[in-house]
Amino acid sequence: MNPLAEAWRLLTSGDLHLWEIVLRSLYISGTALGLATLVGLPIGAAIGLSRFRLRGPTVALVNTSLALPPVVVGLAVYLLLSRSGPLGGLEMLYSPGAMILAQTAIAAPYVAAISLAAASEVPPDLQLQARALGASRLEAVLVTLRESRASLLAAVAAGFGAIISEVGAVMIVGGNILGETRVMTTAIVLETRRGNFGLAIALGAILLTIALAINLLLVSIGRADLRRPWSS
Amino acid sequence: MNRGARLLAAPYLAGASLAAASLASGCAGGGSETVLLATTTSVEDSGLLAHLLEAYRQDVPGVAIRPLAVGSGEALELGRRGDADLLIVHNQSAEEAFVAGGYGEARVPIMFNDFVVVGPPADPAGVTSSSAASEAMRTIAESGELFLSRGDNSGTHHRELEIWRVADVTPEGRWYQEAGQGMGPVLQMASERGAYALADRSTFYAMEPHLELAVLFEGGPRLRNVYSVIIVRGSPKEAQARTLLEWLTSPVGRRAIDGYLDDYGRPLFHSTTPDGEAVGTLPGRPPVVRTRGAPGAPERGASEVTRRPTLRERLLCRSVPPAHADARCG
Repeated sequence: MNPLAEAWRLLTSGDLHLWEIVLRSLYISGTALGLATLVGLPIGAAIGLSRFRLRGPTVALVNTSLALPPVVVGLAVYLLLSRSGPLGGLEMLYSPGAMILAQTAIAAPYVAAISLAAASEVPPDLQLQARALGASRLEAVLVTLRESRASLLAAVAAGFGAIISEVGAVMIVGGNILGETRVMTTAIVLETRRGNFGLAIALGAILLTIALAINLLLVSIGRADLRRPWSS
Repeated sequence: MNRGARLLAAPYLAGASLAAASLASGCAGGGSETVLLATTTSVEDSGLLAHLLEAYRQDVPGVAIRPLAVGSGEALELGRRGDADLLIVHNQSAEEAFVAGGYGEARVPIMFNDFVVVGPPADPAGVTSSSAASEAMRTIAESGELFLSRGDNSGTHHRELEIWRVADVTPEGRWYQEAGQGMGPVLQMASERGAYALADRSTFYAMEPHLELAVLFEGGPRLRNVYSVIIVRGSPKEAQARTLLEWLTSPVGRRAIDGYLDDYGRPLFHSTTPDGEAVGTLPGRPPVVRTRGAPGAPERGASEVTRRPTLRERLLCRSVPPAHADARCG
């Protein structure tokens, strides 16, 4: 059968094997994104909104963490969770949990760096103004974050884009086990190796659609931003 | 097109044709001597491939071989699509189908090793006492201990499925996991999880120091693993591919295969004649003396010095009915 026709058949026939892999990918990357946001957003916002000595080097450090190669993160998580590693007792290697851990470590820098930039762009006067109007310090920060919510959403979307399409780290720490840790990217690698191009193409098409959806979201966020300038 | 436009276009056209010309010459220059060899991960992971290519490079300078280590399934698929010139694979039925389909000229056996059942050294499933590979695998299935399958359509994966069929076991359930990866990663995973696996001896030996796994069952005809070379039909590098095939089956090539030892001096692969003679001996065992030696019978190098059978092997020979005993029992 022609691989393209086979891919179309798989996409339209509700093939269980295919959608199970897609759902697992979304579950793992979605959970990792949630954790990465919990970690990265406060860090990014805190650095972005405060002024302290060594702020410059700290910002540089956060931005550099963006360039962390996913396979290196995978290797680090592998060594951490391996039986001979410090967290070997958890027996977490080759489980979805290990993949979530690795993807969190990959996505958190994205979320932190972009939210840092977003928070830095908010005029500092805004916080002062809020304070002057009687807001507590925390409330002032929340008002500021609310103003940059579009950019913060962009940070989260960028983090998701980085991990849903990542293959190196999840292959190392997940092991590509059928029905347990096989996700879209590792399945594409395997099915290409097996010569099952139909399934590989179908998964690739779904991955592209997800990437397109994220970018459409980013574009619409950008538009919303233009309509709502800071002064409003 | 008016004159002005032509003047404007001229440099672009010149540039484009120059680029096209350099691209064409670049391809011709860089590609004419490079043979793409698709082979299996076991040949690569064991280190044999690098050893052979180095010996070949010294012996026959000027032919560049670009090796690609994939599963047997993918190697054959690469050949089918014309993306490889030469294949070294180990999946007899798939090889025969490949040749029958007109994709390759002939299947030429060049060497062999064997598969071993590996698992946690404590052997919780108790497979050591098995008398056949299928019995060993059935014991694992019945014990519920974890078995890690390659699951990648490779030669090793096919052999594993064949043994399950013989053992009359459907490999499904909590105890059975498919990794969909090469031999190296699967052994690493089995070691981490304390799982059983079917491995080719060469890769296992090469990785053994890093693994918490032991050979728990070995021997018997079902675990024999023959590697063949196939020249892809219609390959533009056919002449160079043939040179490599002839070298591999020549006395020099055979010596290179037999002379490849692991860190403990154990031979990993054994050369064979193109008609598959001498396949009766298995690595690490005394070779069977063949009286009706074919004209091109392999020369036995120093690497194949007879080893005394271990105590376990001798006990095994005594306990197994003669019909089931394999060659090493004599």
